Amino acid sequence: MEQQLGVVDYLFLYCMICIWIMLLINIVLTAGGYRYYLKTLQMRVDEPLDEYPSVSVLIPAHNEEKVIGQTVSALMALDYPADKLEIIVINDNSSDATGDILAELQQSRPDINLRVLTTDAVTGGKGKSGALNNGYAISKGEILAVYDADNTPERSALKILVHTLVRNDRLGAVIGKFRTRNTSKNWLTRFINIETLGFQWMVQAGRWQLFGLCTIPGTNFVVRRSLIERMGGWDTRAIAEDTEISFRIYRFGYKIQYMPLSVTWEQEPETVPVWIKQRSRWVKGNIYVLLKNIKLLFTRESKHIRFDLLYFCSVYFLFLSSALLSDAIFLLGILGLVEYKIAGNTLLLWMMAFLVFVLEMAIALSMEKGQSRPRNIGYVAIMYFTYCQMWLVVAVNGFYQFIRDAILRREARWYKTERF
Amino acid sequence: MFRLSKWKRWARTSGIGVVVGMMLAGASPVFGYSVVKPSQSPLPASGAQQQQAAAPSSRSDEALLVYGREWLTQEGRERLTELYRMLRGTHSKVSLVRGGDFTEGQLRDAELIVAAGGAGEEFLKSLPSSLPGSGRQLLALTTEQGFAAAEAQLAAALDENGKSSPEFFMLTDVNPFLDMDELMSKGKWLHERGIPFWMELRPIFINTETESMQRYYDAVRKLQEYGGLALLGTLGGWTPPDEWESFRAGYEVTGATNSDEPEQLSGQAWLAYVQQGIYPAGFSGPPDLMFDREWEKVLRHGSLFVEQSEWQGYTRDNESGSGWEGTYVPFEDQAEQRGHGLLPDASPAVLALSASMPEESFRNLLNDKLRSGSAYADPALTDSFLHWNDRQLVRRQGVLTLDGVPAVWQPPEPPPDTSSLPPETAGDQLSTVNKGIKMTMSVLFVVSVLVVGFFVAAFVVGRQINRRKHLR
Repeated sequence: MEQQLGVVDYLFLYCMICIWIMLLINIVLTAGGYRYYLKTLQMRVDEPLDEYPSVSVLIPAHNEEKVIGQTVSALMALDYPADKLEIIVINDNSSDATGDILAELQQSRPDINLRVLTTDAVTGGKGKSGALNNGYAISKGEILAVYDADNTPERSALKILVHTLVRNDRLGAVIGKFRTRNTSKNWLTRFINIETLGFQWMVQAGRWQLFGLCTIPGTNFVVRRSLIERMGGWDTRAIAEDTEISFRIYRFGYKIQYMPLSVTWEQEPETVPVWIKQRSRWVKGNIYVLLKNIKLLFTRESKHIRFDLLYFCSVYFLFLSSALLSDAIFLLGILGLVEYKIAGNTLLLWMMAFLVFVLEMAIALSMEKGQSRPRNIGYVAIMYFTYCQMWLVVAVNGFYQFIRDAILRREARWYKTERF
Repeated sequence: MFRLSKWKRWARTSGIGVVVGMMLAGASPVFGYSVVKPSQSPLPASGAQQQQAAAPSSRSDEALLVYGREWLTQEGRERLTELYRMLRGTHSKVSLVRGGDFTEGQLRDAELIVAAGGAGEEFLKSLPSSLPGSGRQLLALTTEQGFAAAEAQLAAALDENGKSSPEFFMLTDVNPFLDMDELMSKGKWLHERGIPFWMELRPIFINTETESMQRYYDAVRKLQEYGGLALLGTLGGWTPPDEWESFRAGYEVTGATNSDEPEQLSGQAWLAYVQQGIYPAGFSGPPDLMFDREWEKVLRHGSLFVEQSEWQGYTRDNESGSGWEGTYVPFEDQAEQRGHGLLPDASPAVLALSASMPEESFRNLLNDKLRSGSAYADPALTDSFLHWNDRQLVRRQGVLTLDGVPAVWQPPEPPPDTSSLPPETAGDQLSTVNKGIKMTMSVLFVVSVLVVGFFVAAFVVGRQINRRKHLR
């Protein structure tokens, strides 16, 4: 008698198909990212412009007394013509010493055009998007730059971004690279460091190289003011405002370029609960953006961003569900409650998937100085079983929050990441 | 119901007769019939008297049918074949010998010598009316008054001892394509009326493991419980060889099996049935099979032959028909309609109805027969044997043995629960979907190996590039 497949088999098959589709996509993106990395070696982005555009740097800050001093100091040290640079810190309804620190900085460097916009619960407190809208409202620059309050950009970071943007009219925005400042703090920050490098060299660089697409990461990016004006500012309902604004820039027909030579260093969560809260917000925000733009899948005008929509849909719906299912089947299988009859050497294939994952990350690490050491490769191997599984918790939590808020018609609340 | 009409049969026979006649033109014009007493019957002897009455195979007599000018005409050959059938039912071996070709030994061993053709035959002069020490009897048949008269004369002679042989019933062409429910219904109906029966099974040697085939086997086993006794029919699609056709043209099975030899195919079919607990007692088919060289090899494997139709008219080689020794049950002719072909009381006869016959007609016909006083004997009491290779199926006094031990069928062990086996050990039992999955996985594995190789190279190169970049 022929073996007939059962429900468990088809679920298992679904998992394998989804996981391997994502894996194959990421293989292609890694190859694209690697190609782009080789290109960046030949780039000459520091050649000065004949005339520099005015730039307004927006820094939303809500109770950021721990990090705001360092961030603003780094911004004041940026290598950019001082008369063209405007730094606007939106002190958004802070109850700590953020305002005092900013006032001190203003007094210490009167030569720098540092403006502090202080809002209270009435005029502000609407989250990052609201703060950016407030800052944008008083800004004057032709180009808007955004940095998170915990960032320490390298001196050349802004100039490289602006050079890239000005030299290509088809670009609506240029994003730089962000690195982890507190990598060596603990295992979590080491994992985050590897994750951010992997994401940027694989997903961002690969998509840019292959499809001319990138997603604004929320910090260290520049965008044309004209585009923000056209779109009427940031969407205050979007808690993943960076992804949301990316899609709107796409829809205007512009591209977003990833420029890894522009680097900023940021502080990452050092505890699991903070990390979970931050990432859950990302998931929830990204689902909102996906659902908002899902109809674009079927319009011809947005065919150039179809890949991004499909990619994120695959990540958040197919991959997430398949990863959860495969874990469940694995656990139930260990307990002897289910068994599958799928033919073929699934164990061998799983090992290959693991190997491909490790190598993808290893390649991303090899593009950064001192990151491809054996210890980090070991961390990658461990990440697969720990950090990646924690992402499932985050994703489920994000989904839950989104559905809950949608049912209860709650307004999206922006969670400010706790600083250390 | 009955296979071939008389007119169709005659039409075909007359065509063949021209060629056969030409073939025999140089032969002696003298023909005859004889019955030769079997020296060593392969059949086990019957025991009980009652069983002997119902078991035509228990006789050990031989007949010699001597012919002369009868073979020269179509009508004469038909008479010969009809006489042969009549003798076949009462004698375990019937030899056809041309007048003048017989030996003294043949004459001495024959219990009955039948001289066909009548007083005008030349060979009659060389046939002694009696031989010292032999119990043989000489019967000269005259055909001058027609076919029916000759048959009646033979029937009267055969019935002289007053012996009456039983009549049997047979379901013909039982095959997997029938409506199994209707087939079972007929079997049950026969059982309820106390009619034991033969059932002619279509030989099957391919796709015997399929689900529908298992249902067929189940139905036939049930028919056995209802009193059915299996006979192996002719190969599906096979027709007796025709002088104007390719000899093998009738083999539908060509290409579907590893052989097209009737002997091998029939052996496979027999074994397939035996393995399913269905135990054929002998063969069934048109009487022409007795005269076919190919089927001669098949018939050697058994000792029982039951006619399921009239003579088809393909008389090629009377040597073949003479060679086989065993129990022969002629098909019950509709003598009233044809005016001849009446089987003697001493000969057993079989009433054959097709298994595909509409059930109502089937019941009505049999009811009519029962009302007219017909009674049907139990075929299971007919001694017989069938063997192929090292396997032997023997029926003696109603007891069935397979390879020397009582044949008791046990359902095969259910196949091991492959669902509990690792998928890799399931082997060839994979479904089409699963096979596709397995193949896809293999492709995926190869792709992933290539990717890993590429990535390892990229990683090494990337490290070197990075190192040089920062050394600049």
